[in-house]
Amino acid sequence: MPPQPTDAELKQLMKQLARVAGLDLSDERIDVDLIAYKGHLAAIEKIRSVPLPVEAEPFRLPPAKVARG
Amino acid sequence: MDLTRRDFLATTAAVPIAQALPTASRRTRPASAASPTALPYISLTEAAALLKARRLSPVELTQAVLDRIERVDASVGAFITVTRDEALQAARAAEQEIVRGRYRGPLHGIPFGVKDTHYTKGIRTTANTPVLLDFVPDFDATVVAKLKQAGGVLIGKTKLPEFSFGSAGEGGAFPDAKNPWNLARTPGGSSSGSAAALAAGLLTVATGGDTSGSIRNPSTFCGVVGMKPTYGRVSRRGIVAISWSLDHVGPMTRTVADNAVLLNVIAGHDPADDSSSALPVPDFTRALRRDVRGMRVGVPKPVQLDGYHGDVLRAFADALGVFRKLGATVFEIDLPDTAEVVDDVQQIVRIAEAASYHEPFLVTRADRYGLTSVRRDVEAGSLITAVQYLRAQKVRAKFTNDLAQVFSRLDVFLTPGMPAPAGGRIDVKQPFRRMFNVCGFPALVLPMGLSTSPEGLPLGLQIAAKPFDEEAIYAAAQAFESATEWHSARPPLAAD
Repeated sequence: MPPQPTDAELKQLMKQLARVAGLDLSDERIDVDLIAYKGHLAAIEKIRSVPLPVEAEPFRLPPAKVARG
Repeated sequence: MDLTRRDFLATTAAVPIAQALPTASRRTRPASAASPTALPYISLTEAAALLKARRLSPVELTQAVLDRIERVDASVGAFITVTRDEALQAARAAEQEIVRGRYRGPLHGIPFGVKDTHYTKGIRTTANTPVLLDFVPDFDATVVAKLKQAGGVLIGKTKLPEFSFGSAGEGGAFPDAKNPWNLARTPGGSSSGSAAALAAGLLTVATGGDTSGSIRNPSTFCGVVGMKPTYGRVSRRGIVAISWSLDHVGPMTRTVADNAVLLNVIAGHDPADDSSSALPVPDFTRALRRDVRGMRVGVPKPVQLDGYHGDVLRAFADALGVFRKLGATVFEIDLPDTAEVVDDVQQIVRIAEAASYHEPFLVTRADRYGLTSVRRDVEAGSLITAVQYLRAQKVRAKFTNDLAQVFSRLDVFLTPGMPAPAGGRIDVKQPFRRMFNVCGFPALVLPMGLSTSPEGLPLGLQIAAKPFDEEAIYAAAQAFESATEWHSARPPLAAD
């Protein structure tokens, strides 16, 4: 498992991802957003721990047509 | 020629309102509708019977609700916009129609409110954010259109935290609502204003939105009945979005029967909403007469309720006792392993979809967001990659299929509505709320008790079921409500 990125590395990454996403985030905004981004990354890490077969497909709408009864 | 209210009442026998009420209503709530001051707490079902029989005028009912808003809402703060003039105009129109024999059904002449995320033609729709402060839609949300078509009287637009983010909070364009049971405590959210208004007698019925529990959380904290229907059951067209695949719109009321009536009105296929279901909509009120003997009732294992408030656990145990006494079979179930990460899945799906919705606002008016965490959260959500989002959606599919397997062995699944009374600790390991947004299964909360520490705050019971089986929920909820008196409890300010 790769080492956890430092806050400085994360801020650099956020700046680059934001630019690609069409957002021009100031350093001040990056500082504010960091805590939320770290929260999202923690959630993503937990989601990644769920084993899935390679055939797994994403959720589709409407929800599964479960037979009643 | 327009009829006056005096003309309207003159067309009917001069029967006192209390005499026109069903016997059961007089027995459980003797003061209900016996005087104009009691009208704001009348149930939809009771009011509809009186309106249909022309023993109550829509104008009289609407005026009573508006008068109470004038008197009480300064302290509760349930509304962003009160549509007083439009309401009285709609009430007068309903009165004219009813007296001429054109009664439309149980919503005709009934005062309702909608969360201020619902588009209302010609009336500002702010979502409590400075970003949309001047937004006046040129069409009604499908839900609003259905309510108006049914003859309902729009009283106003109810409070929420900015853009429906979070369960409560200040920093939006307007201060959040307060809990009528204790004005120092949160009403929960994000459909805070709808729940607070119902508890304070400021509306007869209301609607809300639920992406992370936002109907069920405030309904629990304010002691009312809130239904998050199956995803696709109610149109989302014309609703300010958080997350398209998690957002639900649903009815909020003071009784289970009212809730079923309201869902009858707002449910159904909407060609303008691609996620709207084409399945037929049953008459949900029929389920209210179902017997729950032999009903298979699943419940969580005690370990899954670790961290829940003692009052909640006691009330929940009592509720299970009621179901056993009614003849239901109550048994513990194992949740799928994926339930461990379902809130994380919900977080990523929600914020990635929210970031997409907010993209134009972030680009053109980011400086207009309120002093909340919304801008921060959606900016950070914009940085989630497509692969990360799709990974969450894959786990979501697995969880939904896993839970469907579990639910195939039961009719309803019961949990506490919230882990603690309003203002208590709610960050438990398994809160049982977001999971039903992730899978889209229906879930309702209704009152199941009052806390002792702190004293006198509502506690809620959540009832979930298989997709599109809201009838099982209403059957169980009605049986519980009929066997208990919790729905009759009123906050101290009810006397104001």
